Amino acid sequence: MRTITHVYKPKDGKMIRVILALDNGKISKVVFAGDFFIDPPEKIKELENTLNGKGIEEALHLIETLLGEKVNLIGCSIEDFKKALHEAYTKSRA
Amino acid sequence: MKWRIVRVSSENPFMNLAIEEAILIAVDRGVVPSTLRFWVHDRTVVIGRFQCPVEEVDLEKCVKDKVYVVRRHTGGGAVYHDRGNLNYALSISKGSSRVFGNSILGNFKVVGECIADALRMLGYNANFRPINDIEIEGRKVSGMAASVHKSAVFVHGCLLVNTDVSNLTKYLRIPKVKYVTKGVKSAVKRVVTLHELKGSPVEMREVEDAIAEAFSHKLGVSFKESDLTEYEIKLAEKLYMEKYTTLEWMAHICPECPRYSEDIEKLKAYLEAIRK
Repeated sequence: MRTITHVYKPKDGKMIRVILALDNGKISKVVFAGDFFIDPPEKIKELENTLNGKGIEEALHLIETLLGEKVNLIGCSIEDFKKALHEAYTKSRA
Repeated sequence: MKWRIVRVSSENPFMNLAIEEAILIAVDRGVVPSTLRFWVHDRTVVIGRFQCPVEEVDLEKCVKDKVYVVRRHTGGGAVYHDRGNLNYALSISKGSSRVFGNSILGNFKVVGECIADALRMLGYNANFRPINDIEIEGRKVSGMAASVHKSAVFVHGCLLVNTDVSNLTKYLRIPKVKYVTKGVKSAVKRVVTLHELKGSPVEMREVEDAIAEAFSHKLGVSFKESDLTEYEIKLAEKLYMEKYTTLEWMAHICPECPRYSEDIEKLKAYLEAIRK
């Protein structure tokens, strides 16, 4: 299983570092690290655990659902999390 | 309204972070009034809540040079501290101020503008730059982080007073993308110290007093010098033992990580080496 790290930074925003491993094209494990702010902070672990075993399209949809629920993101948006994961996924498949 | 000023620094950076959170919890529980704390410590990298220490920090170099690596409870980026760096931390009871609320961005603005006011009082042309920076002539002199709780809000930051900024790139692995988007060629050029601008060392106490005055003026509060309470000391000792010095806290983002076993060994080795 190959693990890749991908750094994504929106303009004037905070950095998201995706550490990703795929298994047969599905997410085996993923971490979203970085210098962003999120309230409540526990939401990141919940997101990471939820994405395990998911394909990319379902994962992108889940990011939108989970981070859209009473979550305050500072320095990056839901769209940034989706782009960061998508770029990491593409890099991993290359 | 009377707030507290606490000027307490431990020689141990893990304890300094534990004291920060203990004060915040005490304010949140209504045990002590809103508090401004100033503190310093030596040669330490402080990483943000969501950062990967293996990616952000040169752990081997930190062990070699006896530089501590500590994780704080707030988000944001890694910073390097030495005795020339002034840390300020505000724990504010929501009931004691109308200007602070549940918006972290809004709280950054209030504190950032106060710090900029303080620096202007001292003759520096400082400005708050959203999201969480204070700049002088386009270079970063202070960064902030924050959290929001049930009955309290928390904002802390570090201010480059006399810091040796050449160490930033020695211990931190700063991705280029962090500073090239701000139009500078190196991480060191992105930042500036008050010392560099003045051309001579700056008195830390003078800066602390200006910050307290700016908060007094802007927030309409007065400060009373205070020590930590027994309640806060006991809480800080508990947080020190059960949170800040533990592998679990240092590696709290690792269990979900594909590199778990590899990274956890590096962090274990770092913590064992730095404790010797």
